[in-house]
Amino acid sequence: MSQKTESSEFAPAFLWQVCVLSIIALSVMISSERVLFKHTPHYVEDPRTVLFPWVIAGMHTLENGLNAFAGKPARFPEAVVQARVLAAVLIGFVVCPGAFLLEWRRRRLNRDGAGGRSQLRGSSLLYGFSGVIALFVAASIIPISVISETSRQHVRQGLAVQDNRDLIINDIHFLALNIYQYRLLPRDLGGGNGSYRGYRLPEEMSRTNDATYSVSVTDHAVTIHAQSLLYPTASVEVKVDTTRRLAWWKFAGEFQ
Amino acid sequence: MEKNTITIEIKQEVSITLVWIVAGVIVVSLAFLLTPRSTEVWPALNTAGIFAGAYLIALLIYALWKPISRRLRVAGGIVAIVVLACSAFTWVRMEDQTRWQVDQVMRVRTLIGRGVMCYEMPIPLLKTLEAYHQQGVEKKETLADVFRRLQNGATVGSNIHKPSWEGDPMTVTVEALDLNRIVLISQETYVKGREPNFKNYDGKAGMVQEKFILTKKGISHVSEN
Repeated sequence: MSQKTESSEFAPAFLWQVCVLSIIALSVMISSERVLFKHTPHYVEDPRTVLFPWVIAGMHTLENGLNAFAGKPARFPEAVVQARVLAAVLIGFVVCPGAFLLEWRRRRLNRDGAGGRSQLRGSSLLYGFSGVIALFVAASIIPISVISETSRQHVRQGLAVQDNRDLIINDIHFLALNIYQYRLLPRDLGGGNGSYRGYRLPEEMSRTNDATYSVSVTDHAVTIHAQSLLYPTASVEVKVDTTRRLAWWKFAGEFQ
Repeated sequence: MEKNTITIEIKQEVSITLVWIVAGVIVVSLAFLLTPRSTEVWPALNTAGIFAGAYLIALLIYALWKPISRRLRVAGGIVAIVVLACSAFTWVRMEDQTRWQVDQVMRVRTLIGRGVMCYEMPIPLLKTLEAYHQQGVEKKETLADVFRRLQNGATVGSNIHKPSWEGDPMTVTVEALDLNRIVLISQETYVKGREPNFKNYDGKAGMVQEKFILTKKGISHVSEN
């Protein structure tokens, strides 16, 4: 009797019943999702990871951000997305570490006590599989946190430069409007009466929070030079022609 | 007799493992599923994460408890703290980063919207100003006359923007058309401006809105929201 009990660690067919039930539950969940919800196009590609739930959640946030950009309402996460996130938390933070640590403890105590070698059974397979997953998550999390922090800094730095450049371009459009209307106005209203000659940059437009501006004037064109205040080597130069068109853009330093 | 005792112990340990895992799955799943529904995954995920973290700490304390040697307990504890801290750090930073990126996307959208408005809106006003001053010293037409002539008889409330593409949502509305003062207004329909309580021209609240005013002395600009 004791021989029989030792050879079957779990109840008969327990493991494969659990596997079959899990597969059925997953199939029902995914197929009901496809039947109930129409396929909607996604801006962000689905992440391939199944172990890091924050990546899946982050992708959904970005998806909603791009929907907002296009004027569409934010979408509730689909059942598949929620199932993936929950599965990732359960696999990475509950099932695998649980099975691995508890089996590790059991083996440790058995080895210290009986000293015998355990034979290959269901628990050994579960121990090996969960150990691989748990150790993979544990070993990869340190480089992942370092890499993601580095890329985060790069993205923020890059966008800060881009932001400064965009704001300067925006200011330049207002300068061009001011310059062009000078050309249209008669001299008695302080204009150039068909010429740019005599144009002077208004004091309040020569310096903003983003840059300092200067102009060089000819009869038929005004060249605007913008020097970034945040990035001293970065500058923009552009020419306003007789039709208010901005031409010959030149970007220097970090703006290139 | 001895064999029977060993068998019972093994079964107990398997039961303990199953209880730990099943309890963890139930608690974390309930925490995830019972969090109020939101358009974001983060609230449910963060709640589940807090429960999963508490579960992991409890599990580690149990797994490293005596009679596991002190050396293994210390080593396991240090590794666990580092891994849990890195996981929490990456988790929180990912949430912060994605929210920041979404803010940036909307910031860019606002900048594009304002840029388009501030480029497009002065065009009819500059044409009007040019035509008005081309009349010379003796003016036969007022600014309003010139504007109406150039904009196909536009009146107060008219949208004078010609769509650049099918579904172009931009509008440029004549807010005022006095003899020598013309006011144009343009607003976004879903992009939020600086002041959430700002009352927009079309009755909405908090959207980006730009205004350009033409007089015979030139054009002035007011970024209203």
